[in-house]
Amino acid sequence: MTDAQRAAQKAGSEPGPEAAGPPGTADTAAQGMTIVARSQGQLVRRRFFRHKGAMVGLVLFILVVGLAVTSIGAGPIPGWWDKTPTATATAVDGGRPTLSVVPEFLGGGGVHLGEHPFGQDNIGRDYFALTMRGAQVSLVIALLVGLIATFVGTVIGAAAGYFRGWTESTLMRSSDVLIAVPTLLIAGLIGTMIAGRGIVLFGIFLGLVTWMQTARLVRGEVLSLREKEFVEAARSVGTSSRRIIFKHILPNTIGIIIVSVTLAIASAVLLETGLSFVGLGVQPPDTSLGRLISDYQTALGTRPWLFYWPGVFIILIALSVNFIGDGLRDAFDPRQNRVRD
Amino acid sequence: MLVFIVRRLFVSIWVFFTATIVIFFLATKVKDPLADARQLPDNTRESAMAVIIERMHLDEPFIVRYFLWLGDAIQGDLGVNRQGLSVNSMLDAAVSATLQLVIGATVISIVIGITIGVISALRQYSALDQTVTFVAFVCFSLPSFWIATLLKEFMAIDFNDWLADPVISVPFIAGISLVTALTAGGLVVGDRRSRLTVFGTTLAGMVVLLAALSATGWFNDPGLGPIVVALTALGGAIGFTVLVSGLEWAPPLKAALISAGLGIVAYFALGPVLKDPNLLTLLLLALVTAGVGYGVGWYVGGDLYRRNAIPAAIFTGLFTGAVIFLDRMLQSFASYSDSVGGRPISTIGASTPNYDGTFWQSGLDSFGHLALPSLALVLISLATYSRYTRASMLEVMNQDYVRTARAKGLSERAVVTRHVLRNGMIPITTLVSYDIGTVLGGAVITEKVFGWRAMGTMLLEGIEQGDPMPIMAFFLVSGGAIIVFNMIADIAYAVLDPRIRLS
Amino acid sequence: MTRFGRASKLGAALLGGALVLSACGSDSDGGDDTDNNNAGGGSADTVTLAWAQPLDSYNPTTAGANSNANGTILNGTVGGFWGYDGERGLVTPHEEFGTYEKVSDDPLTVEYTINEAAVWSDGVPIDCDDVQLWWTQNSGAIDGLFSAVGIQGIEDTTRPECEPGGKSFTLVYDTPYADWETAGPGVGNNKIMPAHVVAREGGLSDEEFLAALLAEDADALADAAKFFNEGWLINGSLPDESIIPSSGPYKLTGFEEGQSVTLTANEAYWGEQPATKTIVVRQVAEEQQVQALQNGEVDVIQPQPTVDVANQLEQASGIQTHLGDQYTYEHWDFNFDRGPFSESLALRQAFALCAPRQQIVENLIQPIVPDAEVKNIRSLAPWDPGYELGVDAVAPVIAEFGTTDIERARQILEEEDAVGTKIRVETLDNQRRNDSGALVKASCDEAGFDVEFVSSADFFDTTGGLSQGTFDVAQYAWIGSNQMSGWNSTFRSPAECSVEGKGNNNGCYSNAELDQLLNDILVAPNPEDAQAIAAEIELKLWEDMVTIPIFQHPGITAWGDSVQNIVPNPSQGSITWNVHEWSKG
Repeated sequence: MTDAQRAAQKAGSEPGPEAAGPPGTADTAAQGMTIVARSQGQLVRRRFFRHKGAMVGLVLFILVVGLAVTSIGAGPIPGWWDKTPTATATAVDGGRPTLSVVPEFLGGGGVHLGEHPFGQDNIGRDYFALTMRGAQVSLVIALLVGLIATFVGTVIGAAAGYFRGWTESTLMRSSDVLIAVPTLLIAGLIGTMIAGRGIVLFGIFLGLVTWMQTARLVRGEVLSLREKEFVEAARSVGTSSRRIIFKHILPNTIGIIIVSVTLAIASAVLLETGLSFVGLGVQPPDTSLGRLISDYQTALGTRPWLFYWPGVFIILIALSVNFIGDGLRDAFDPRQNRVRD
Repeated sequence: MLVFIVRRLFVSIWVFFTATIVIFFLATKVKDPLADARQLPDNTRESAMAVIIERMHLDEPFIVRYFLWLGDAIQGDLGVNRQGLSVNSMLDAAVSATLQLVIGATVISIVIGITIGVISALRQYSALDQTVTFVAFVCFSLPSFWIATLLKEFMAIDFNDWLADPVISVPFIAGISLVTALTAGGLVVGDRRSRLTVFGTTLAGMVVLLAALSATGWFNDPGLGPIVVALTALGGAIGFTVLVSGLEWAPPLKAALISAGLGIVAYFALGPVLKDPNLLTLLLLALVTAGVGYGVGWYVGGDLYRRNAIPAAIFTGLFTGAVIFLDRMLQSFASYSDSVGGRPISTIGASTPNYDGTFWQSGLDSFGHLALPSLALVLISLATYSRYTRASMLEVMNQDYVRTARAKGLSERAVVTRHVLRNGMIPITTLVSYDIGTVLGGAVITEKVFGWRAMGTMLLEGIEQGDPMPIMAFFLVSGGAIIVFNMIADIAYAVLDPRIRLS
Repeated sequence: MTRFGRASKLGAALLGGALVLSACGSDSDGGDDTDNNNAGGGSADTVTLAWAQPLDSYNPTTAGANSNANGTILNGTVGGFWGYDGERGLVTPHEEFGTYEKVSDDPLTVEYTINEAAVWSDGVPIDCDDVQLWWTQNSGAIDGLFSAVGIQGIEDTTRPECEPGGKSFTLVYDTPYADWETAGPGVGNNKIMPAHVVAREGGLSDEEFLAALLAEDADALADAAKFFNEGWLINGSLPDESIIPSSGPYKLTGFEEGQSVTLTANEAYWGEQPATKTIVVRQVAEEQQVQALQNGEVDVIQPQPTVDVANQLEQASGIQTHLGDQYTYEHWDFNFDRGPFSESLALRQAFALCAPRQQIVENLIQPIVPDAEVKNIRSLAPWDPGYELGVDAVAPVIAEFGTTDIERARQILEEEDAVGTKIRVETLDNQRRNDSGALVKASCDEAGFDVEFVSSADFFDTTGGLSQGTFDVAQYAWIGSNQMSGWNSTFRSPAECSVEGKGNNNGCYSNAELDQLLNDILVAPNPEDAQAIAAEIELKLWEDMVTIPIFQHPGITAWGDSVQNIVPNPSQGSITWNVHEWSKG
């Protein structure tokens, strides 16, 4: 899922009409207004915060993460929700959800959360708490995968692009080897081998096999940057390679890298849940959104809430991260603005 | 160029070979193949374990097992799985099923995705474009297994239930008509009034059409009938002429209309042949159609318009053929549906066991089994293709040569079809090579949901049983496909862009 | 311009003609095609069964192919002296195939006579050479030549004698053997295979083959044995019709890799012809079976029973559902090799008191089978003869430790100064076990244990928890049977407590007294004695708190209203025991 989506998203970007931002200060200058000098960072921020989709995505993402973390707490810190994902009880009313959003004057049951807003599972565990636990796990894995894949990809891509020659061919050939393997195959093999040993390890290893796309992108960028005059200048005054890479080249690829992280996270959510669904991912006692769906796929006909809620959260997470990524990309690379003719 | 291709080929083989070592190593470590045998009762366990150890060479070190596999694999023998079954024969059955799914889904995604992408690029920032963009993002974010399970419940079981008494409810008619009308309105260029006119007409038309279809029980015994076929063919003739040359000149339009007319004649003349044809007959007919179209175009177009008339006639002819094909399929629907207990959309497998019917019925059987899993795969790839096409188109539309083309007075149609579309499509070749790995991975999950026993099962069971042989077979096909497609994309690019060859 | 005119006239004429034609041609849709197919779901002469695992061999009697799927799917093609029949799956003689009779207890002697009319579907009589092949294989007379699942008992018999073409033979046992009835040729992995096919494929004439068997000539039999062990594997397509003759009411006629198996009525069958001409077994994964049944794609399913499957089937219209128990039972094993339970009976009793057996059954089993109960007898199922005897025998221990009592568990832990003892409960990763693990943790944590619950996919692997003995309590299931020999090794002292050495006794429990009882039951001269010993064994296991049984696994079978005579029975996967009686109206 990852490669093609990222390729497409890399290309498929342009700001919404409102987010097109000030296309240039020339127009305003011509009208005799004051020209405000803006740094590159300011421009990017401005463009990003004017991107409607990205803003909605950002708010949504913060809400989902906030809900997942604060509701049941993390580690030893308790959350505000009074049930835990592990406490068993007797299922009330067949575990039917008590969440109601239709107000009474419309003939509904009133707006309230109730005892178990998302219902209860087989052994009476609160499904809201379970879904939140699943969301936490899926998020942790996705973030780990995104960060590690981007880190490894950036280092390898930068090294390959900068040093060329023997280093490049070794690094790029090993990237080619991994690209030749469908992500699901290698992730499934790795997942089966280590998923039982905890989600952190699982996330790290998934990150170690999904960095290739980032590496290719970064390498391409570095290849063109290293020919630029400012790099040549740095080289001619005897700056070390390491300094050139870290001080001169990488900062200029930051746009690509940041966008890469978001897209890697979005596809990692889907990869992890997909793996967990076919049984090659997260293992109990851990749970994840994909695993919950896998457990309750036969519940669709009889207890649909057990099937729907985890799916809704997967979509919310992936969608919000995708929108953020879209906004970021437009902010860093506003090439495709409105066609004017 | 030749040097480039040879070098590229050599690199691909080397990469592939290295990847087999990596995968084989992981596959031998993934699980304990003796786990199941260990659960057997005492009296049978020893013998079962001994059989597996010998069959899988579990007493040999990894490297020996790898070379044993490689030696056989080079000669085309993929070994036996843990149960001692030939992996080759498993693969034979699996590959064809998976390919049906993957190729079908990919082709549909490309065709529809590119169309949507082009339209939304041409109508940038319209409500239609915004909607398409949003829907594409939602599709990106859909977990395929989740959507596939939903499709099965609602599009198969509920749809089949509905077929028992196919009456479309009023809100449904309203909803479908509204969506169609909004889309049609969004497609129109022009002022508010013409948009509203189109919207209104489409809305009314759809409501009447759906109500009529519902009232006459059309869905139980569908078909287009000669009149609809004829009208569609004529519409096609006009549409293709617009695309190919515009309606300003008569000859291409004439050629297309004649082609459509011949198609309509064929509709009746070929009745007996089309009762129960085979695939070969149909392919021959398609060839004949193209040939006739060429002739018509050549003759009608004359020296001046030949270049436009020939494609217009050929496309129209093939399109008419496709409509007739669809009509035949629809007419067989009732008898097919009857033969499977009135439940034509299936939830499991790739075909009804031992199904024996006419060409059309078997075709419907395949369709009924392929429809939903393909849809699940298409939904995801579709978004990719439409977004990519749109971006690529927009980039091209900003180029100077497009501006030049406009400036020299070319019609919008000519600018779009000749300049924008052609150049905008080049990067899509790369996307196909990216997407193939994605779709194969997606197919594994989709196959699992729809109970297909194909490549995905080989992989999942291989992992489940710690058995490298089926895993390697899966890799040979999927990894092979990825490498070949990547290579083709690279070579195609090198052909198009000489700079790449040199680097 | 003229050309335009001419061509458009031509076009108009064509079109007009077409429309005229269309008026008379009209919609004659393909409805006149006959429904001559025998697709699953649709037609009356086919019953379609869903099964998750594939058929992979026509010879389920070898060690490698002894799978549930092979046994179930091939049931209709097998004739044998007995089967696990009826609603309870009790051993039932099949007189259509032949008769047998125990003629002496000392030495144990059983006489068998094959029906005179019994023939393979290719017309060759079922007789002496088939029996000799069966005996040679199962006795292990020629060491390891013919692969066998290792039916116990036969290795202690002497080679039966029979004339070439003869239909009767006698098995004489060296020692008394309680399960002599199921040791004889029957269904599943104990069936008789066609000797004439093995002879032909091994390049021998029937006479040469029989002679070689009698002489136990391994060299002469080498090719034949190779065919026997591997030649019946199903690689992508069916073996040639000539090498898969059937001895039952159906023969195997169709196979589509990964999709389906087709059985067609065997015209050569000497008994009554089956009620339905064609049986199709479609390969459908467990999770997909209910929807496939609802959608009419299959007629009979036996899915993994979950609460949702049960509810969904209950809500669906036009579907018959049968809920019942299977032979399989769930249990906890203590680790006697290491950890807190190995030395302390008191702690084991405390665990028995805190483990919420009743709650597990109420939450996880009763939603499926409403009258399910907590299981107190390990090796016998409630419908087995002798079960009541066992219940009476263990009653005193059950009264004391059989019901959950967290207070008393806590008391014991306090007396033993063991509050806060860490225990590791391990199991295989599946939903029901994860759920029950959560219940155990909640309940026993309250009693004062510190439970770590681990469920992993590799639980049964060599490197997994069960083999490695990393558990303090292991939860899994034994596939029970009504043979005394089936569960005998589970409680027998292991040679050494290692992965290879401990066999089925995963907790490495060791007790010489119990070993003696286990020996006795195998040679018990009659069922009544065996039942008494079984009850004694159960009591011992409770007194020493070796394992704790939890529940009998529930089973669900469901079929479309139009199908008749589906009779589920609790023996493993033999829904097909009466496949020849299935019909569809």
